[in-house]
Amino acid sequence: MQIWIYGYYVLLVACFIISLFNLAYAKVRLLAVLTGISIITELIVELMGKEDLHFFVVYHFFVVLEYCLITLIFRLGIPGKGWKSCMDVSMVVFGMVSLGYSFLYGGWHYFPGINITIESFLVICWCLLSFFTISPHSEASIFQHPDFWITLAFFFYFAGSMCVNGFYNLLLAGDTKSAQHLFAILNSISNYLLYIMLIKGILCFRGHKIYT
Amino acid sequence: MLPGTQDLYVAVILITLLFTIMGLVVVMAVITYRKKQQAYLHEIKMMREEYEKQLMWSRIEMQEDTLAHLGQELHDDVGQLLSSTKLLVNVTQRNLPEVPDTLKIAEETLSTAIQHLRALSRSSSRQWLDQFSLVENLRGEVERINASREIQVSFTHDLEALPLQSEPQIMLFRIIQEAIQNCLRHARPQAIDISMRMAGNVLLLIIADDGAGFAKAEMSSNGMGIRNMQHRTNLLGGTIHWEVTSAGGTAVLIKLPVE
Repeated sequence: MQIWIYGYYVLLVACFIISLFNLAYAKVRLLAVLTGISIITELIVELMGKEDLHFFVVYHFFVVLEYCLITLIFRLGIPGKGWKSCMDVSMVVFGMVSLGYSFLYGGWHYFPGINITIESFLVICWCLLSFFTISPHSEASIFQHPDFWITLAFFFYFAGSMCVNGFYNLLLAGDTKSAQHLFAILNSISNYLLYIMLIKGILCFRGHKIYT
Repeated sequence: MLPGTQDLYVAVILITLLFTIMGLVVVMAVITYRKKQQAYLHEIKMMREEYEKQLMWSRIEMQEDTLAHLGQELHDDVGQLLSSTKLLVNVTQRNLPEVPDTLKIAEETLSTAIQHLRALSRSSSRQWLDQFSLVENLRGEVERINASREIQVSFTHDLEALPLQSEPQIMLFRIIQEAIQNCLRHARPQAIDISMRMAGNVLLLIIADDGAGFAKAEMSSNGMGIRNMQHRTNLLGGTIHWEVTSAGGTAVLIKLPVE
């Protein structure tokens, strides 16, 4: 289990470092902030886990930050003021709903499965919107377009892990150890895909005419 | 409690379904992108063509203006000088009891030079081109070349009226001039035949000579003259080809769509 997680950490740090070398692009700057916050969150979780503290509380806040940053990334590439306004509203509403739900119903010590499910649903919506609004600016194929890889990364990650995250609390209620083991593996795999595709996306910025 | 075998199957089916839907979404996104890209590239191509067209028109207008200016200068300056010289020669002839042959030849040569200069000046003058049709301009050009008696140029056509505006007519005239010049410079022909006829909605123009011909494989499209002719024909929306005639000469085939 540790190997899976350390592999994910390596990719996360690699993604962060690569993004630092490409800060000229607005989307990469936001990605750098996102990966930076992810690293800090994982560090806090590791430390709290070692002290046997309830580390899930960190995720309640991380989910809100993560959603806002991802939405801001998509917001940069989506044309139309209407959609941008929707995204702005969604960030405020999601922040309030997510934190409100954790405070009033879910509790800070439990895994924020519902919060992540709502976040995943919203991000998938933005991914679908982004997929069909990617504008070609050259003869280059879509596979050389940074927006495609960033969208694909978030789409696969959130669509794939939405089910697992949504039912994680239910699984935990049964066989905790196995559930944690299964979650860690699936989460790591989806994280591998996420960060590999994000790295590919960041590297595509360099070669893409519209951004150079 | 981990899922049992039945639940596992359901999970596998659900995951497969999920990934299939995700895959379909990606495929649809790729297809949408390609369609957009095709439209975008087409738009870019059209814009580039339009830009090149505008650029070419500007160049041609500049060339025409320069030619018109040159024609005017030739007519007003050199033409006047030659006329004055001819007048002086005539005065000299009248004052001499017996006119020497050399002076007569000089006077004739001067007259021919003035004639040629006027014809050249006319063919360069924009006003003159605007006033007369391509057919008439071409006739004048043919007469001018034939006057040299070094080469026989013929011009035939079956047109009652040329269905082209003034600008395209000028451009076509310049193409023909360029073709004739190329022919005179490189092929050393005895005769040049220019024919113009309509074939449906296409104006077919053939400039054929009986000169040295050319090796098609070695023909370079980098030459200024040939490139100009190609550019001008493209601007008119037509095509231009160079062929070797059965007699070994060169034929320039120009096809222009006309309404």
